[in-house]
Amino acid sequence: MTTCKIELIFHAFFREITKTRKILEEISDDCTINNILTQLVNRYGNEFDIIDPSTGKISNENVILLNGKSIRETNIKVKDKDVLIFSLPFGGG
Amino acid sequence: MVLNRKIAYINLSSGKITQKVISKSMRALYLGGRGINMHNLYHHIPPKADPIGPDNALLIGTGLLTGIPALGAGRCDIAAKSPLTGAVGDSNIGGFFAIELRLAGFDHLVITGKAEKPSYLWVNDGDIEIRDASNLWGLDTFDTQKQILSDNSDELIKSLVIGEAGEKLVRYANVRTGMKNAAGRTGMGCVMGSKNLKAIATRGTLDIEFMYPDQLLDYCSEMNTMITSTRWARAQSKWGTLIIYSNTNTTGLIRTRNLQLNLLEDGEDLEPEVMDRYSFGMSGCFGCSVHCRHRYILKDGPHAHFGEGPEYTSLGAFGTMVGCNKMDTVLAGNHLVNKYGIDTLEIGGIMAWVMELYEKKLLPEKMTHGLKLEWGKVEVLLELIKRISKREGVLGDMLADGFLPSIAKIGKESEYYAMQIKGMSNLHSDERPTPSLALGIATSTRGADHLRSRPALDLYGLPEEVLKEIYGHSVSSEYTSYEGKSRMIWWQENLYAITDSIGTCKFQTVFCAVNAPKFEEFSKLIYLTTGLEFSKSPLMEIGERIITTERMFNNREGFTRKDDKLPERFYKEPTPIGLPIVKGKTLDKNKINTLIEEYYEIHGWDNNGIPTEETIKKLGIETKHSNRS
Repeated sequence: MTTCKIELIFHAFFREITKTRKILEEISDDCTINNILTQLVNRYGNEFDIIDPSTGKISNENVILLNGKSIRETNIKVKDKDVLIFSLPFGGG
Repeated sequence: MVLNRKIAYINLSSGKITQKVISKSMRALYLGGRGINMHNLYHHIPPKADPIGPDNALLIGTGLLTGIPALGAGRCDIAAKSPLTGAVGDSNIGGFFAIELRLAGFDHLVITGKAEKPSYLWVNDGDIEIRDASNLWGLDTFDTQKQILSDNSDELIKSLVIGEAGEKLVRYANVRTGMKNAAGRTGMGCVMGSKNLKAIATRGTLDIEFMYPDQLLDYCSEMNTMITSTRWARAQSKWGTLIIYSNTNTTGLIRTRNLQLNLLEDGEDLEPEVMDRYSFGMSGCFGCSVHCRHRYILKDGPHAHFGEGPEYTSLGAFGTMVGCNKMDTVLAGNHLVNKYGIDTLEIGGIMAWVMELYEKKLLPEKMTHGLKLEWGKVEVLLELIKRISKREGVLGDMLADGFLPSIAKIGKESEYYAMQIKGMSNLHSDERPTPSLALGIATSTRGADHLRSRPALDLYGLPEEVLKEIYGHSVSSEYTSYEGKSRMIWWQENLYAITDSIGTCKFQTVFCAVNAPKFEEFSKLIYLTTGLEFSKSPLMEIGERIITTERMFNNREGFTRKDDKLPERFYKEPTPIGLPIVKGKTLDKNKINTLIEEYYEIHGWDNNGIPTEETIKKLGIETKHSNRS
């Protein structure tokens, strides 16, 4: 199995929990968003438990951006050099 | 009852003041706040009136729900013909003024004419006086409010005031209340200055009776619980609107160095967490359970001060747009514009523009009087703010008139770099990757404007079935897509027209979360507060009526489709950096034109953006002009 490196960026409450803005993570090349979320729950706790059990998707209260694109599905495979941002609704001015 | 509040007509030239109860039929058509102000804008300002002449009317309006303990229901709408754009002038202010005005017996003021000498209005328990303001003229916005409290020996007075920028007729001077609240956009402070009107001070002790108080309190409690349970509200009450920066500056959705870049590298000192260094608590407006603004102290250095804010807008104005990456500088700029009473967003946009012109050697040397307009220099920024606010020197005086007169003086080549629509600066969001946001700022009735229609939900990548349920139509969940975005903007525009007319906070709508208040919740609140019954559909029609009335005002002043125009730069220069979905993006002009045509059609306007006779009749908009004062 080969591995790839991705960047995880944390905003708001996610940053409070992880106490960091950014980490580089080495993962297996068949890793999905769901796998990453499971790892983060194990490491940091329930703040990362953001899947809505009624839909199986990322809950509407959270904004997860994969390379800038908002995603809801969790079975998406992550690739080398991907950037995953954990955030909240952010419109306004 | 709430509905017995009055409208007063004040002619500052003659001193004549009359008042009457606002009719139920007017409420049924326009509710209050922005809605009734827009009716009065159309009917009380003669066509082609000089915005800084006595014929322009300054319109003050509390929202229909002002005073209820929920959703930030303490907002006030201020309108006039804009001295910046010549189009609809309209701006919304939070704080505590609106509730005090309603307690004093009035919901709306229509102020015309020009006082002979500096004056202020005193509004107290059913009476209105025009008072001498000679001792206030020349004071900044903080000291003006303090002096009014001191002169009247009453700490509970609430005032709308202007600072030096309003007195000097800077075309984007704002109106302020409290430490931080501002009706920032479209130059309403300039209109006050042109009327020699330094302030409107009010104190009220009259009761406000709600129609069904027990049920209303229960429902307000339900609304507050719902809002405060959202992650959005919890984040706002900790970091304020600065939290937006975390996303936009990571993704590449933020204007930087005017529009040369779309994120600020080395911009970590502007992250929301940095405010922990300065903040000692959060405060909020009347009726708000969120409390989204910092109270802070900048302790050291030449710009030490105590203040409130800053908003995300100031982070752009004195941060990314002018190439600055220091929070100290943002705070210093934010405080200075609050003191002078000038729109943070407009001055930020115009400073970024001249800095790029300076860099490209498109700004004549003789205009700058030796000021090197280099990116990110705090002393340069503060000096430029001062010059503009006081109209000092050739550059300050010219830029105080706004983009369009400045373009005429600097030269045609400078126009390309001016990030403005209808003469008004855009927020520091970069709309190139987001067609819905671009459509919103292109068609807004008051110029480049993120608050008329911004569909924040578009940025969250929500499931399409959720979007369809909200908007009643298929909308792509991709924020880079054009699909369904015209209807999305139309729907948001109607919602915000209602929000501005009932006087609640836009943030505390579907803006922040899918289950946050929309038309249905507003219907119930209006009924419990006033007894007036509107279901979703009539409320949407009122939103349509307000926007179409604004459009008719603009048409009368010469604005048509040609003015619903984005800066050419959005089409020609791709976003140079950012994450993959954002990088390399330009807007497609043909697709934007299609969106604009769809948007007109949904509104019932013709291809030139003019409401059809059929639409005007259907909406019951009175077209006969009547100048009663």
